Amino acid sequence: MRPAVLRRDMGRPVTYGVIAAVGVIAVRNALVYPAIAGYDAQEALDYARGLMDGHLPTGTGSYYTPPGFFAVGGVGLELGDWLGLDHPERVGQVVNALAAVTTLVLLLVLLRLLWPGREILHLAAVVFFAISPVVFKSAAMFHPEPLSMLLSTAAIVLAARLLVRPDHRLLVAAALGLALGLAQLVRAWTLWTLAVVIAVLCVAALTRPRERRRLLGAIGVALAVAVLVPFPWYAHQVTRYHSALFGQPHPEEPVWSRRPLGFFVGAGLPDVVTHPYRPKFSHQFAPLAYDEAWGDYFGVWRWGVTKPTPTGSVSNQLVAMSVVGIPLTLLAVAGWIGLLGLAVRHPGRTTERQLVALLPLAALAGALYFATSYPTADGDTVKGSFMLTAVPAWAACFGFAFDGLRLHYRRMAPVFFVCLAALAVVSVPFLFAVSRL
Amino acid sequence: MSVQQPSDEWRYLRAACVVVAVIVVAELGGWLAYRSVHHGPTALALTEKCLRREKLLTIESLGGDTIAATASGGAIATRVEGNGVHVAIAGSDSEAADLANEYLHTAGRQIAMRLDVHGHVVYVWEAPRPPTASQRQTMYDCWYE
Repeated sequence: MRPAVLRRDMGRPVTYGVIAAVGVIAVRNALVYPAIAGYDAQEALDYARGLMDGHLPTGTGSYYTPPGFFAVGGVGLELGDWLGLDHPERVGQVVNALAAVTTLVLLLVLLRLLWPGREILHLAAVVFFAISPVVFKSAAMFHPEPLSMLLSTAAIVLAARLLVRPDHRLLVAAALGLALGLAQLVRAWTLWTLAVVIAVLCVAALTRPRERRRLLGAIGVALAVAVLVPFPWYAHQVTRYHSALFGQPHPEEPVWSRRPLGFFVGAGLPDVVTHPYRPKFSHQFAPLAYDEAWGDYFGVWRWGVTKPTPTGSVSNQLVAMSVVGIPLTLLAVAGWIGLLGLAVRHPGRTTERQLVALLPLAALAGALYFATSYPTADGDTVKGSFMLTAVPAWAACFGFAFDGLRLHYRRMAPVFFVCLAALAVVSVPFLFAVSRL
Repeated sequence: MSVQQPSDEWRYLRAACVVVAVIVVAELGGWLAYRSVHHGPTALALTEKCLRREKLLTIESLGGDTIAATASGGAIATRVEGNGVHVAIAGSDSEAADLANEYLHTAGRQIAMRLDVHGHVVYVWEAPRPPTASQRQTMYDCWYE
């Protein structure tokens, strides 16, 4: 018993230490990383500047992206100008870094609601999130994704709170609706969070007859607020562009025939590990999304979008990250499938855990639909950051699988810890942004 | 106090691990099977495609170059900045050396300055002088073996 107690006691301070380290690295990156090197950076900066001048982009740039982050970033630009910063966009980048750290704190809150007392599960999930390059990349940029991840995670936490604790349900439901509504005002991807939250609340209402009336009331309140908050934006887009979400032209052929079969089933072997950068496997979904998430496929983080290929040392780093991602991804997928199985076979038992089981599924389906609907030769519509809102859920799935294996193979537990620590140590250098690309 | 794992939690996790293992084996097996059936484009095809599409050069006849024609990887001819060049793609370093020796044996020592061996690829230039750096670089940009 003694070692278990020790591990449990150590789990919490180590978890706090990891969160603090993420905060320090993320803020440092935001102060170092050149904003212009990030995804769609010029479009984002123009959008934010334009908002401060009182106008939205008209049919150009990121006109289809809701203005939530750009309003915050625009205020940041004004503040940066007022402070006399050489790079006023740094304020928006720091906001994103803080959004990523706050998301990690919310992840811990979520884990404590879903798996109370399982400190090692919490620690493993926090470590997974903390060594995910896709989080650090996005958190250093002037881009809406980290804020949408924060609001999406806040919504998941509030939905879990609604299901786990019966007090103040209407107040929590209103807060949930507000979080879902604000998330839609930042990024349209968060619509899948809305779908998952409503679906899980409905499952709870169906499987908990005693609480049904109160739950249905909470669903009504949350849904009403979640629709009302972003309504003006959607109305504006429909009026102006005849599309509420992404009114871009796409091929005439049906969605299912816009990509070949290889796009869906190709694993990009062996290049997914040996050459994890463009233009390799740009016509395959899984390896591109994988290397974008665990490395730097497009060159926005380590080697530059204008360069044809990374140098030898950078290539070695990318290969190392691609290898590091394999056990972490496989374990996260195992945890996800396990939770999905539990959700399907026992929908009424710990319904709140379905929030983390369904979010990756919805994110994958949404990203696949988008990448299929709008095919590009360079794979630009398969950015790992498009699924950023699902990273906290993937982290929870990883923690669930890691802790499950540890509890079942107790004698092997030290080996599991050493492996996780080794993977983290290998990853850390890659998480630091460089100042020039 | 140690945390107890609900028994059916492990059951589902174990099944999920099996599913993941099956997916990994299927992907690896599928890749190995695909690789054994589909071989990528040959070095000759890649060279020709590069010369045509990236360097905008025309592919010419090898004429009576019987030595280049014996290269196991095939041979093509083109013209870079007015200087004709025959490209013989060997299957190994030793075969490339044999092809170069055969050129030297047949045409004599004067061909040495027009002869260039780069990996498994042998280049024989037409003009009676060494190729310019630009001509050589153009061919090296489309070097496949």
